[in-house]
Amino acid sequence: MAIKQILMIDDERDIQTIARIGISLMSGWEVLTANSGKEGIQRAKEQVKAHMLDAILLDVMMPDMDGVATLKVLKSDLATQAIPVIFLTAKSRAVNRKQLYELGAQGVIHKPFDPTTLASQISGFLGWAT
Amino acid sequence: MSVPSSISAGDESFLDTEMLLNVAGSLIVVFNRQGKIKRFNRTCETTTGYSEQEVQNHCVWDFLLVPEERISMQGIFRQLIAGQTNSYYESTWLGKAGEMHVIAWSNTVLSNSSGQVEFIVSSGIEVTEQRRSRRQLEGQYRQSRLLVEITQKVRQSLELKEILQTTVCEVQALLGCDHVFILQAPSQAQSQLPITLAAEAIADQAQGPAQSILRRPWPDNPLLRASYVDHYRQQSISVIDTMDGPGVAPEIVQILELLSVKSELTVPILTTAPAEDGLQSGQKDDFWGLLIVHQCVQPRRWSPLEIDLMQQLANQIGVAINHAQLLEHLEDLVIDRTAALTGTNQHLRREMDERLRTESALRRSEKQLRLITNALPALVAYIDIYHRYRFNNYAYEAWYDIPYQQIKGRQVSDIVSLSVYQQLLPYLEQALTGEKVTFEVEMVQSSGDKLWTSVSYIPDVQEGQVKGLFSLVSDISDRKATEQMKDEFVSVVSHELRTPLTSVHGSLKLLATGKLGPLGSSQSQTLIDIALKNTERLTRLLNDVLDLEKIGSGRVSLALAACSVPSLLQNAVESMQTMADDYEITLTIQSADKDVEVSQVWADADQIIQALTNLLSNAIKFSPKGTTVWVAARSQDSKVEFSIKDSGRGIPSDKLEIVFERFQQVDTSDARERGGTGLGLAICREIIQQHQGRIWAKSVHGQGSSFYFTLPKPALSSESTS
Repeated sequence: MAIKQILMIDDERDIQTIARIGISLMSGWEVLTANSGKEGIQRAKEQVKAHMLDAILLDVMMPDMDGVATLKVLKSDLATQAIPVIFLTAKSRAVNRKQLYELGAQGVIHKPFDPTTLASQISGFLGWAT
Repeated sequence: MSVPSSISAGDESFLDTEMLLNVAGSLIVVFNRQGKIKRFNRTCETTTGYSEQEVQNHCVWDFLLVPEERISMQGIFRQLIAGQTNSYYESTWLGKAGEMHVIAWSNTVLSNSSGQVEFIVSSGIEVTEQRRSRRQLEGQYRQSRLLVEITQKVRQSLELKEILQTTVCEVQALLGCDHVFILQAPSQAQSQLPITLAAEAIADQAQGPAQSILRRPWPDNPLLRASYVDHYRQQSISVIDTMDGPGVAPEIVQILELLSVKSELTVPILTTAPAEDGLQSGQKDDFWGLLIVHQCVQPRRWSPLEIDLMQQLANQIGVAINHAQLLEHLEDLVIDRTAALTGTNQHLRREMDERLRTESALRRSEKQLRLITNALPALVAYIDIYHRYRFNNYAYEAWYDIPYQQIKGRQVSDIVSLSVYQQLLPYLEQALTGEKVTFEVEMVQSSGDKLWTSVSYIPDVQEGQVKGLFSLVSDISDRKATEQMKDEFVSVVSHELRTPLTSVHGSLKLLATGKLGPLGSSQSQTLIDIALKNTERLTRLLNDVLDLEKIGSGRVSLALAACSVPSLLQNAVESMQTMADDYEITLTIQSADKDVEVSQVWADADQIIQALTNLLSNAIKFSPKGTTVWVAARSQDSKVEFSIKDSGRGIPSDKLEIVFERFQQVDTSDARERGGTGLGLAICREIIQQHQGRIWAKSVHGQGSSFYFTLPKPALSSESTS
């Protein structure tokens, strides 16, 4: 089994760092990062072409193009449609989990998240063997 | 002389004067010029009882004529002698037995050839009876007239005293008697009261010692003695012609003798007793008093006519008394009724005054109500159970663009739009069951503007029944907007807090696994840095949020004073010098003009320095290394304009306004990377606005940004040159 490739799209660098360290530490997966929705879509396409994308971690609150808009684009694009997306959100009560699932997300993780269990949470959502 | 008893047929000797004279039924007397009786016919003889021989050669006035007519007879005779034919006269003769005869005469004179009267032939007829009858009739007539007069008076006059007094005077005059009295006896119920003299008439000639006795008050007045009255109380008319007559009570005799009365006529006066209410005529006859007539000196026989007259007068007096009593009673009733009416009238007046006072109080309170409710910006109304407006305040006019007086009486569904009414309806119905309700609804004003409102319906319950409801509608659009903003802010802030928190927590969690090697390893170091940095970020964020809240709420009281502009700039620059050095940025204070050197602003120095440092911090962070950040101030009329310019990447023109909003980022650059909280510019704006200044930004994207703000100079009076 090849090492999973995860793309993380979040405007916060520190969070990217923590997620990356957490995932790779616990599971050895590779984590790529993008700082905005636009950048994320671009990277996703590139990775898909290279067959090197297994899941996307997507932050909801981002300036310019937020998580929901980014997801819509990913899902409407044939290239990236099939890649599973898991939302990261700091909003707790305001977020409508149902709405996010309806949009096509396959998981929702709340901030502050535990970087040590992040990988297993992703596995859980996507049905991967741990 | 002889009178033939019959005449033979064809015997004309009867025509002889002598026989004619004595056959005639009338009295015939012939007088000579001296007045001596020459012939006295048979009828004269039989009438007077004198024979012809006895009267011959006497004058008629010697003994035939009643003495009182002597003078007038002589006068008549002289006239006759003088030739004046006196056709008719009456005279009164005295018969031999002393009886009187009234004769009506007609005369003829016989004159001689030289025209001198020789004889007077008088022929007469006895009219004694006629005269008596006539006098009687006249008497009757006078009595009737008296009765009529008195009756009339009774009918016309209600003055009992007047009626009684008139009666006694007229009776006294008519009957020619000495005393006429009307006595009033007390009623059976009030028998302890004395008998009173209601009216009296005493003939002039009868004035004497008796009268003074009569004038003594009761009980000394003999006439008013109870026994005297009682005697007559039950009896009908009492006629006493003489004292010696039978059936005259001794006590009566005593009293009458005391008064020198010889004859008395007493008639009871009866009235019909009033029934309980005094208005209907009663059935009984009540004894009221007595009508008494006295004849003194000589006894007198009371004729039936006179007695009848008295009876009738007594009846009339009775009627008069009835009338008077009735009148009195009626007067009493009228007085009572008037008093009652006056009382009622006063009562009504008081009620009316009360009502007027209440009405005016009500009007005053209504006016007050209107004043108060019209001053309220909220809609105040009273709605009845049929959903009709009964009262509404002035605010309705602005809200619905209808003159507020025209709303009264109209249905709620008329005034508000259909969709709004449908929303109100369930609450209206709920309130009308007696439950107070408060809810929020978005109303539409006449201008089309939508407005969030808070509506309260308070039911008006009187005696257990809901009569209507009080409606209070207030505009909460501001509150809603604020709430919305707050909700957003809270959600944004919570997000902003969670983000660094995630970093801190995450870092520590990873470090805690121990899988990262010793703390000195590069990964560990990175994580420690992240934790530290984000802790600081959290702290700054919290501080900024609190600052912003404090400044925005106005809870911070500005310590305003005249501040020297150069010193403000100097202060700010000095405090940012270290950061500038770290970022390799040069800070330069520009002096545009000499005025600024001496300019002052009216401000809280600490706050302005905070604003300046915020702006400087942004400028430093966004400037490329080795560039300069310019700080300047420019004096204008009443204010000073500060500016901070950098050479950073600038701000797109469409974002020049919103950069001052909270948590706004120009782009996903590393403002947060560099430790910004996203609140710096918002705080600056709050500070400047609190100082009555203005803040704005200018920029050309890619060529740097300039931030400006103004502050007022101190008022002229307090300006001082430093």
